[in-house]
Amino acid sequence: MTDAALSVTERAVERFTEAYLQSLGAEIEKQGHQWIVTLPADADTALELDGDVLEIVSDPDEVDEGVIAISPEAPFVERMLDESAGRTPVGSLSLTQDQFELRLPPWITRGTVEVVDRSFTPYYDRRALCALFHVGIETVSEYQTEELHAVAVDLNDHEERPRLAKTYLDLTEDDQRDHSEGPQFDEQTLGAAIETANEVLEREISPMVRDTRKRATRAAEVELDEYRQFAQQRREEIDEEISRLKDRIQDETEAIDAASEQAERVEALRKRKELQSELDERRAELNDLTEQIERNFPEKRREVRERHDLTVRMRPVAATSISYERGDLVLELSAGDTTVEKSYSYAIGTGVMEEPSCDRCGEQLTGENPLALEASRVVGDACCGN
Amino acid sequence: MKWWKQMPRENLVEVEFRHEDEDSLLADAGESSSLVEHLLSIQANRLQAGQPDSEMRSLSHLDEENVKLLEHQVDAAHRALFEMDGKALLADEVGLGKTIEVGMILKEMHYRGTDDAVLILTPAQLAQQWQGEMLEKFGLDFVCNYDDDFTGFDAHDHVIASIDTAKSDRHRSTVLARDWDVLVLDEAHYVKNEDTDRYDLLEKLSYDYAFFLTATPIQNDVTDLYNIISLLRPGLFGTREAFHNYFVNKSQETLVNRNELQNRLRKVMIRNRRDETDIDFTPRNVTTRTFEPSPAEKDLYQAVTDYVRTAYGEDQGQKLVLMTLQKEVVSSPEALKQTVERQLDVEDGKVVAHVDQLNRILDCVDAVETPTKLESVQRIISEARERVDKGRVIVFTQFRATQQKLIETFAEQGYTTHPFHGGHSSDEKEEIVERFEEEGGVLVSTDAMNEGRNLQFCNVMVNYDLPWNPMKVEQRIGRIHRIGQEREVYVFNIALEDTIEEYVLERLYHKIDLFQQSVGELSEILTRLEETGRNFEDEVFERLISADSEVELENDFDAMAIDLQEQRDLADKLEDFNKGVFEGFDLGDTDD
Repeated sequence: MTDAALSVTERAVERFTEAYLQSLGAEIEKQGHQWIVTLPADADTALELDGDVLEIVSDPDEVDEGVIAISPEAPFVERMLDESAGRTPVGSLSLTQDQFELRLPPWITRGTVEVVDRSFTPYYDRRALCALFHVGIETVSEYQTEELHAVAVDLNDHEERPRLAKTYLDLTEDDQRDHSEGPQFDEQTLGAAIETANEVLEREISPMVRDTRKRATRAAEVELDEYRQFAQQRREEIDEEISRLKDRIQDETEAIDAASEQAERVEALRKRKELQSELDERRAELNDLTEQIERNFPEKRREVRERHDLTVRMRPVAATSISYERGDLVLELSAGDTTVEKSYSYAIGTGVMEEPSCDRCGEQLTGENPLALEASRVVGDACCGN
Repeated sequence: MKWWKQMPRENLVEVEFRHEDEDSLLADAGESSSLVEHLLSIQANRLQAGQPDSEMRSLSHLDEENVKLLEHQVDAAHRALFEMDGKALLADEVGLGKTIEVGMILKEMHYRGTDDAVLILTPAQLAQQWQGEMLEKFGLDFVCNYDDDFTGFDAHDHVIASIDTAKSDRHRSTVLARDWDVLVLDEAHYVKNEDTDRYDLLEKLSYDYAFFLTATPIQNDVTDLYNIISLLRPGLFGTREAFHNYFVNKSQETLVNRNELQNRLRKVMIRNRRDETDIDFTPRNVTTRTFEPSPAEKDLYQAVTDYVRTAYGEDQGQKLVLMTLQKEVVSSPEALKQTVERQLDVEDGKVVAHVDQLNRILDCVDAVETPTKLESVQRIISEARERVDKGRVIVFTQFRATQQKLIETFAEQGYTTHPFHGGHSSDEKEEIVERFEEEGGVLVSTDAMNEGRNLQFCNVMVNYDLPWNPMKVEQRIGRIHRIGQEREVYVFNIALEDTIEEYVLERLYHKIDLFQQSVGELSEILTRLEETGRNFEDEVFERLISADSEVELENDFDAMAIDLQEQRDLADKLEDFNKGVFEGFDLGDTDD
């Protein structure tokens, strides 16, 4: 999973504006930082530019009246991004070896073995889905998180291709390179691929979700603990109130017994009845609270749980069918007097597809345990090297 | 324990995954689409998800324990990166934390992945200080040319090096052979002269971003700026001649077209002034203790002064040695003895002049039992041992022999001692400072303790002897009285009555409020004075030896004090001049 957000630099905004306006068929006359732009009358856009002046600035408030600012967060730029983002979300790209230098893995480059020669022989084309997903995590205890992630999934084996996702982001960072189209998705293939990508994405964002959930749980626990403390405090208060009411009822009973006049006696009886009713209410409240405590506040828990529930929203916003060549990468490796030829399964845009092991001990070769040669055998430099 | 604390924890937060809005995407499948438009859609989505990139995004990754960022520093780093396109002259006054500003800039570039190859060039003695600060405060790992594993400028991607190492024949070609992403140049005024090898190296270096640091962008006159800024932004000022003709009048005392100069400088230079920042320096408490010399010390002082006058009257070529003797006599008998013995110990066949006087000096040296100053300094460090954290005191002296004597004396009395002098390697110096911080005790240092070394963890300093050059005194104080010093700083000056030291202290230093000048203010004034040919030390010496009587000597020093006052007025004018040049380069908005 790769964070796909691009830094919104002035340069990025300027480049995008020019490319987008050109894609709409605009005529752009540049005069330093100012562009005079006219869009064709039939351009498929809600933007209206007819000899308007656009100016590249750092601060959108810097421009003169009537001039349209081009800068990060400028309203015109935001409108343009909104329009472009939804215009052509599905497309295709074809990756061929002409476009890419052969990429060697760290278990070769970080070792001491010299790569004397390299050649790639493509055998067949494979396809993958590369997609951008908006991921939003909503919790009550912290701000909503919005991220954009790139996911690549091979259409044949439905396996994830993280290195291809990285290549996809590199390729789509700007429009400087010449790209060619590949086979397009049909709806069914795309639907199935998105389904797989969803699973991959869920798996990959799970550490982030786990962290967020941990924080949300802490917040919920604090809330519940506070409520428990409140309940305990309330129970102690009610106990005291009940005791006080009992004392007062006793006082009134004594007043009834001691009353010498009818009116005085009636007043005391009325008062005792009021107090008794209050006592009953407190007892009922105490019973209710005690029951809640004994049952561990089911309602409050439900309420807290509902409030703190985590919703992870995943929305695909762009999908590209990538076709890429697969074949064998043949490397001539040399160390001292030894020269051997090795062949590895290789994919354009992804690199070497296998993770070989040390011929002697079986330890996997990695950047930390790079390839070394022992006669014609491939060994790990760290595990079995000299 | 409360009853509710014992209750088992439960799963209070459930997670729901929602897959949304796939249909609208699926609806687009199968439709013919333009690749260009598709790529633009992807970019638009990615830009919408991104943050405007004019934030210091790495700041939240810094550990506040390690570095305290001040508002003006964050602002400077931000402006240098985002408003000046990564090419800036950071010209804050001394002590405002320019290194921190660069650290922030480099941290941000690292965060954004635009720091594949970074070269920091510094004066030799500051290289390891930089290396330590970058690592400790910003977690940025640099290789320094003094490291054992430094194998060349082509072998590492993040290098801190002495500028002289970089320009040396051995390394120059590799430094120039690669394209650096970032170049940092500390003390940039050292390369203001376009006829030097250093300037030549800088001019030929290839880099995308550059940050130059200096507290004194104008050393001599405003054309200094031309040279420095032309390295950063070639062409900003046009040709040297055009610059000179356009901005400076012939006498170079006034500026012309000032607004235009300001406008251009504003594009490339940031200058924070101390009185405009929110920096709070702790109070500085300066005590001068003057003692009556013992009769033996008086004899010694007189013997040396007599010799110096006689010898200088006959041979002015010996000036440096004679000045040294005059300084040593008030530092320590040990320092003096070495120099006198060297004077006597000349090559065969050479006639030594004034042998009798020199021998008399040696006799006088032997007659001094315990120097008065030595007793006094012991009282100070003894007091410090009781009152100050780990009893940390820095004692400064100009002479190694005095340093040696001080170390021996303190060690005999059971103090932890740390000698620090120019003979140590950079590694050793680093270790000494670390040990001093850890173990406490007394650090006895010569003036090899350089500008950049931070000793804020200590707040007591003793000037065992006083340099005649006030800037050196200020540099000493600046080692402990700077940002990060949280306690009141105590400076003790020790001087002997009726000696040159007392004259310099009382009549000269106090005239310019030396000890109450805030860090850095004086250096610009005095640098300027020295640049115009006035040598403070020479003047002190000349007056000392030319006076025929004590009264005349006093009068001479009074005259010098008046002269100094006038020079200070001139310095004020210079300050006004700088102010004129740099007006509008303060924090906050420009005054366009």
